[in-house]
Amino acid sequence: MHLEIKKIKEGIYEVRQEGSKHSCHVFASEAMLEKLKEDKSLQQGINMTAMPGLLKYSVMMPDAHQGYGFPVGGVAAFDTEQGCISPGGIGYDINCGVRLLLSHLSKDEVMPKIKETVNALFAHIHCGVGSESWLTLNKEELNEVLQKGLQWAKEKGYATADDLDHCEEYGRMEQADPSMVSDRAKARGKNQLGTLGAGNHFCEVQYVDHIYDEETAKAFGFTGKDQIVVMIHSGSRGLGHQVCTDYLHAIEKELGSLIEKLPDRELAYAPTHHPLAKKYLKAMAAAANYGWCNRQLITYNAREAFKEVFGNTTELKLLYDVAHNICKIEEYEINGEKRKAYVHRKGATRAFGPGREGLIETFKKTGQPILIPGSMGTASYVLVGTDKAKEETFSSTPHGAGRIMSRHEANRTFTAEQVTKDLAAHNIYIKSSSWRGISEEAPGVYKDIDDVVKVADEVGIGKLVVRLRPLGVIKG
Amino acid sequence: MVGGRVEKKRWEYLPHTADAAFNAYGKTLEEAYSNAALAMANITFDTTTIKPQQQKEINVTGDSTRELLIAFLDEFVFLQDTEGFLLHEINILTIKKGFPWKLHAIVTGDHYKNYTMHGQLVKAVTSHEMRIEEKEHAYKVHVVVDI
Repeated sequence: MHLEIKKIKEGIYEVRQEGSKHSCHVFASEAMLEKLKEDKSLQQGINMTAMPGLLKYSVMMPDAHQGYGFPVGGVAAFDTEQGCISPGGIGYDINCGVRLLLSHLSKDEVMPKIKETVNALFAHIHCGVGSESWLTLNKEELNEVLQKGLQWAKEKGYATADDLDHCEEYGRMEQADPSMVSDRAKARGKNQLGTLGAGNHFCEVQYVDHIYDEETAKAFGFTGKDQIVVMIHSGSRGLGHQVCTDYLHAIEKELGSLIEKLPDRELAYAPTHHPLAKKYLKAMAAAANYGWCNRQLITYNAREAFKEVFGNTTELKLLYDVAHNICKIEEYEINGEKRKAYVHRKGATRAFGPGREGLIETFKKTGQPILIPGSMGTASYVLVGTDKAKEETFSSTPHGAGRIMSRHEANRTFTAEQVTKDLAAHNIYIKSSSWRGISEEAPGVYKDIDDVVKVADEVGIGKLVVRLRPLGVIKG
Repeated sequence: MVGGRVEKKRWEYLPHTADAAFNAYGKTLEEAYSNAALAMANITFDTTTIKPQQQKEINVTGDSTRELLIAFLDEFVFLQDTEGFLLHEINILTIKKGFPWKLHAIVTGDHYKNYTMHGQLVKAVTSHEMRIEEKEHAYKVHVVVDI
């Protein structure tokens, strides 16, 4: 199918399929756009526009790449009355997300002990295939996790009130209903709470390398250059994946005739008023609550590991926790009219600017912190939410670097030994439960994170605050 | 081994930017499904190194051959997550046509604790571009999994 591409302004392109009502806005540099043309990414961006009740246009983030159904890095807002809910438009790993913990330690204090630190993190945080949690939940306890999210973690002593304040949705989506999550999903989730998982999930020790915006950095709690921070990237593990699988299957069974017409079965949706849409949203919220508890327990482990290495008074304070695979009800002004929308973010970070509801006072003044992890060994960034994103991207920004090379190709191009050596040459120490995990996640398989955040910053959908660089990584 | 002696390649991996894709082949639908399960398992572990210490019985249904394949493969993702079960080989696999389609299989494998992962963990089976094709008594299935 022929796609027309028009440059709107620097960093924003309008992609349209002949005869289609809506277009897709692609946020990219010229070079990134060329790369997107090489596979089905742009077609997948257009596929989002064919779904019912789309508001304005679909969006592709600077880190967008080919997925299935929606592209990874795809955002679509659907009208709450005439629109739809698409589990595949949220992703299998519901509430996959990132959090950042701030320490009072400096690079000079941590560098000499980096191996010890990484080993301690590796010992405390369970990761890799089949990794089991140190915590076994019975049925009632798991239901509580699904229902209450971080509120559960706080009651059990794994989270502080301050942690809840510094988390998207305060770590709990109220509409969660554990009874909408299948026994099969619960069986997968029962032994995995507080485990990192595998793939691109990681826990990284980083330092503040550059500060772009002193005032905002200070408001966020950064103390200056070389401050040590810990970044955690994980999601809702097998439970979230099973929720997505279950509902895709249910939609296919009940709404098969709608699905037949779609260009890709992974776009399967239920109209917003269909019982399946309502049920899925309750199950998704429960999986999201699980995801927040998962990252919280990993945080609990990371805090223990840091105390072990740097003494009992060592603190890791949560800056913020963002979900980048999720659907939210949000309100936007479109053609002068206020419209409620189900905003689907699949590999995109919510980016609320100043004054938005749902943020604590500090962030209401500054805009919310946006956490964008790089690939293994490269920089990660903290940005701040803007008003501009509200107009351009339904308050969304990128979520990471975005893959450009298949794992298959990565294994042919890189060896784990060489990657580990290269990282060591840059003073980065890595520990993984799988050698191949290292070669498949080699920095060269991703887009350049620096280019990704540059586009976001220049277009203004998120402004740069600090750049972080890694010292040590643990991976599944 | 289902389908007797192997003469041709049983599966092949295809490039996919973010996830893993493969084709699996067989002279019968049963053989193609068995090979699809092995192709998927070999993304994470080398199934030839997994010992046949445990036996599992699998019974799944689906309204179509596609749904049946998804349900069958999803069972391995489930067994790995809940029981730490890693596949070695498919010993018996039968498919009954009907509404719904029914699949019965007996498989062997072992607990993950004794092995090191050589690849990526499969997290979900997708229906993206899934194809089940028959040409002159040769079956080909195309699968994309989320990793």
